[in-house]
Amino acid sequence: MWWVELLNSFVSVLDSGGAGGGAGAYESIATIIASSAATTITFSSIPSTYKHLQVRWIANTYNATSNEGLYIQFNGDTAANYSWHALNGDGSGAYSNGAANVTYPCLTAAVLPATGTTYGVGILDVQDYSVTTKNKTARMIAGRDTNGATTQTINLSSGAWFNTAAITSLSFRTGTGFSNTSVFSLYGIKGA
Amino acid sequence: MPATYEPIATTTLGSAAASITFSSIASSWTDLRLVLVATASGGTKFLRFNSSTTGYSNTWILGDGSSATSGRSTSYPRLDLNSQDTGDSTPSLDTVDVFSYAGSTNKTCLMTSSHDENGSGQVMRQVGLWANTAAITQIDLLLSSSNTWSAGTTATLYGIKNA
Repeated sequence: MWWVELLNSFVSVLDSGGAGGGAGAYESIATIIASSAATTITFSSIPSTYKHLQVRWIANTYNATSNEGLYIQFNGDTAANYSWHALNGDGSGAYSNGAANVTYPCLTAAVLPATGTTYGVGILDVQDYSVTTKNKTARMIAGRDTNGATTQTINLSSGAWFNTAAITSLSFRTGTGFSNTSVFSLYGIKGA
Repeated sequence: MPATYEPIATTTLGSAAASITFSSIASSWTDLRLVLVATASGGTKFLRFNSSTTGYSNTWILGDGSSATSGRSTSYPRLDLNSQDTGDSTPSLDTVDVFSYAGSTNKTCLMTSSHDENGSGQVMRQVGLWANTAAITQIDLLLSSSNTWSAGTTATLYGIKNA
């Protein structure tokens, strides 16, 4: 079947490039375990040697009563150069929200659970992050589930940074601070 | 030392089967990613971790070409992926990202399901929880109502390792 052959060829590509402790088309750049109650974590000095970036995160906060947004910022830019949209499902209904000309955070993509053994998770993709002729676009899938709590959610979001500079730093922020078991892992995806 | 992103195992069914199992999953990676390209006799696709039949819940958003809806399951005996049209020859594509699968927290995963049948089908995204702090060492892919995975169905499990 054609789709089996296609998938197997994909696996073969990964096989050929995946060995050797991180060498290949998908490489680990850095991992940050949040300091206790840190409200911001930052990946800095991001090299321009990749085509795209991806961040996989698992996190919760010190807010014991409610969810918090997760905000993103590029290159320390605090001007109103960001916008975002989101499609959300909370178990009862689907809804969309967003904002334009946002100052500090560009992307409020996911809500994080209060401290506990259940975490919020997400995957952020930033395309063409080092190309200096394009504004930057990012997307995220994120969610949390706590077995019926009203604060559970699944989020699909997009965000834009209206700046053509290469991204060399990437920050995540939340209000009350991340727990010290929150982990953010930055990966680079190479082009051909 | 494990690679950053590497295939752990692939199963391609040569004949119909009731289940697909990845067992003895090592704790060498940070996250797991499962890619399922499947056809089946029908039923609902679901998975279980470590053969457990308790502690699952999920929240989803779904679009079927007419409307977008959201729903949830709580205290469920399995983690549903999506329904599978009976007798389809067009495969559905499902992915499951399991975060910190070998860690000591409850296990949360992000799941995508895409299925199009030229007039029917749906796209679904969801977050799933297995409220269990055990390391995941086995994943079973199953179908409801005694349905079977069709020959040619492919499932690949990847490991993702951070720095």
